[in-house]
Amino acid sequence: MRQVWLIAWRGFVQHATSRAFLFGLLLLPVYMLIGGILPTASTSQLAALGGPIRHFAVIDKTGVMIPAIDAALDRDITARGLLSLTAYAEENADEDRLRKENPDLARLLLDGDIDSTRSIDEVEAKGGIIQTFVELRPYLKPNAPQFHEPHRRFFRIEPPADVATADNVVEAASPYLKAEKLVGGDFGPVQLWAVLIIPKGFIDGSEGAEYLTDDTDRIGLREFLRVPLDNELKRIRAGAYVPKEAIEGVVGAAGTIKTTDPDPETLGALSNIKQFTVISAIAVYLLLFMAVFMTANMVVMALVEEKSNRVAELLLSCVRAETLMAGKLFTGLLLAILLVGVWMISAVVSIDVLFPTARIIVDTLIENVSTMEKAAQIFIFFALAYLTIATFFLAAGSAATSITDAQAIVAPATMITLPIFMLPIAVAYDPAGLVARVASYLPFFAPFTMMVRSLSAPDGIDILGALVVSLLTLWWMVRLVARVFRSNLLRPDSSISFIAFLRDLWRPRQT
Amino acid sequence: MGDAVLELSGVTKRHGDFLAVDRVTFTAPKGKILGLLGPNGAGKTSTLRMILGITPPTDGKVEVFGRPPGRSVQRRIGYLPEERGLYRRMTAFDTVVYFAKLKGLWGGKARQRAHDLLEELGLGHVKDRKIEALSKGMAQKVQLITAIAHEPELVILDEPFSGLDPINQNELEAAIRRLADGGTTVLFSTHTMSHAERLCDRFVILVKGRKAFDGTLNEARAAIPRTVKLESPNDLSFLRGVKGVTNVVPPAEGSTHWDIILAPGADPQAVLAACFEHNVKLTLFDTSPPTLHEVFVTLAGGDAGDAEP
Repeated sequence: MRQVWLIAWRGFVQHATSRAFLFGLLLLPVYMLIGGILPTASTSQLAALGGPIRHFAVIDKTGVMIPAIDAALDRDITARGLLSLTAYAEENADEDRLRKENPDLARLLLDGDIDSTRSIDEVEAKGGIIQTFVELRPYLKPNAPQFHEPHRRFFRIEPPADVATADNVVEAASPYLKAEKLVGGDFGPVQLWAVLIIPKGFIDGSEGAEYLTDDTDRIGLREFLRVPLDNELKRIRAGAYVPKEAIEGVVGAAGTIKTTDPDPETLGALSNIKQFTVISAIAVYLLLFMAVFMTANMVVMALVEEKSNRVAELLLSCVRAETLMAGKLFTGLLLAILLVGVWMISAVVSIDVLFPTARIIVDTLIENVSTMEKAAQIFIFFALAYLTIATFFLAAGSAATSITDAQAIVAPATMITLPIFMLPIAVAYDPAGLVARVASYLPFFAPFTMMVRSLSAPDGIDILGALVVSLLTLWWMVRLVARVFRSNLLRPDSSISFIAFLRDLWRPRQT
Repeated sequence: MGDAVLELSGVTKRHGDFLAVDRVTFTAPKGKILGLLGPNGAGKTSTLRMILGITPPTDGKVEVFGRPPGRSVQRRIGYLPEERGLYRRMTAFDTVVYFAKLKGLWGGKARQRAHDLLEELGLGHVKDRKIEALSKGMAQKVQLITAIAHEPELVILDEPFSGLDPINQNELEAAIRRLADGGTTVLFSTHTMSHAERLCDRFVILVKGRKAFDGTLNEARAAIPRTVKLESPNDLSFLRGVKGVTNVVPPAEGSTHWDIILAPGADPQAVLAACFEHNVKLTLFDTSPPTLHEVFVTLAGGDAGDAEP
């Protein structure tokens, strides 16, 4: 064990102090800060996570109501933006100069009726809130703070396929509305807050619309949707020359939206908690995945270098091939832990200092790994995932005699392992679902799947099962690969192809 | 096994269809210097790797300190591979310490040994320099130090003199002698005969994977027919009729001497007497025993092309 540690620590020090590694180590945090990933998220979804953001779907059997709803959504953001901008202008604009030099804008922002259709039309004619703000900017007082455009409250998304085509929409939508299943939003998985069903007979008043939600106490979205539906109904009826009095009468009946809770027994949707959990799980998983991939490659390249400059033979005169392999694997593990540690701390600090609105993600994450047991669970599965993949990579690397050869072997090896990396991202959407549970027992997939599932609350039996499967897989890989590693390491002059490498895995050549 | 540190019995090594080592048997006595000689491709490195336990023999038995090679004896062996390889960005001192630790020394002792050996071999002033900044000779000395820092009982050196200038070769020779004087058994492979002749107590000569000779220098000399070298303006073919002469080889192109090959036990003086009887004028009469190079060339035949005197 001492020899394993000596080899691992020497490799760790060599890599961790190399400029290339430090570059890779620091590049990601820099990307986080200036690359726009967090700023983008911050100004859109992340900023809104703490507020009452609602994603809803519409099943419109009339085929004419959705454009009206979308238009209303756009006007809503303009109206709310106008409200913010007028308050901002009152506080931060040089009123005298604005009135004198741009009386139209002064009238809109300082004297106008912010709720009036005319004011909203005027803003839209200018190109929206941001364009209006640009027009206001020359009249701001010195050191005026930054203007933040309010985020959208409501997002319309396409209904999940199984809901859109279901005979019993209420039943099909239930797991989504209870946040047992998530749907894809613009920036990641989201909870479906409500489904609005508009039947064909809604136009002629023979059928009423139905609003499905798991939280009947919060009716803001429903009341918001009522307005464009009523207006569109009026417009259609007016186009059909129905007398005004008759229109008002029909709206009173047909425009009524029936509210249905598919599962009144539950306490209502858990707000956005699950959504945050999934986002944080995917973010953490991607960091871990990058660390696994980056360090496994580094260790392979270092091995190829040792093989080509004949240090490997000297090492093999000191230690067994298995010891050398274990040392290399632990070198990578130490590097991966360093990478993840630095990246995680960078991400947390970046969010805390620069993007406080996204703190809820960090809070959720910390809450999910707050116990030692949970942290240990994640670390163990991360280590097992790394060791399984790195063992395979190391065997591939041992078959190469130059960096070029190594790339030719490692690249296809990477492609083979790609599904193992990708599946857990799907698992993150439904960490307690059937796919997640099955993947927890599949060799190779198990540790990666559990890295993601560990951030929620998987069953104890699944944790144990995944642990056993992961350990058995690793044990089998190490045995298989050690033979190839030993036989290839002393072939400094002959590289083998990727196919020959795979063949060697099953029947290693004699050393 | 007696006082033998190393014993090989019928050791064979195959790489696929290629027979690298063919039923080789020899022993290395304790505290002696054993030379493993042979042309390139004779199986020297394969034999050394089997002794080190880096590769297993296909057949036969290897015993080091009475045990099979591997973990139990690894720390009692020091190894200098033929292809030199060190971490280029490590300092000389750290390199020695690292390999000494891998061989079982603890931190303080490893550092002390590294310091002492680097000073002893004249590298004290460059101990903190990176390997990539050292000359080839210096790097090779560092590598030798890594092989002996843990005070092994058996040191295996694979072609230790290759690539060294004459001054460094002499220093290396002296270092090897010091090891043997200190009771360490040294096994080294080479195809440079002069070093082997000066250093070795015993030799094993491999040719095409097979053992062609195993013994001392005198035994080596005795193993090949004795040759008398004669230089003369006359034709010496008549010597074929002299009792005890088995062959007469005229001067080869570029050479001026005749080689008179004697049967075992034959007296060279009989050749001299025959020359006097035939009134032959001799400018050279050399009965010196054969050099190791000559022994090697005779044993290796056409495969000795790359051997250096």
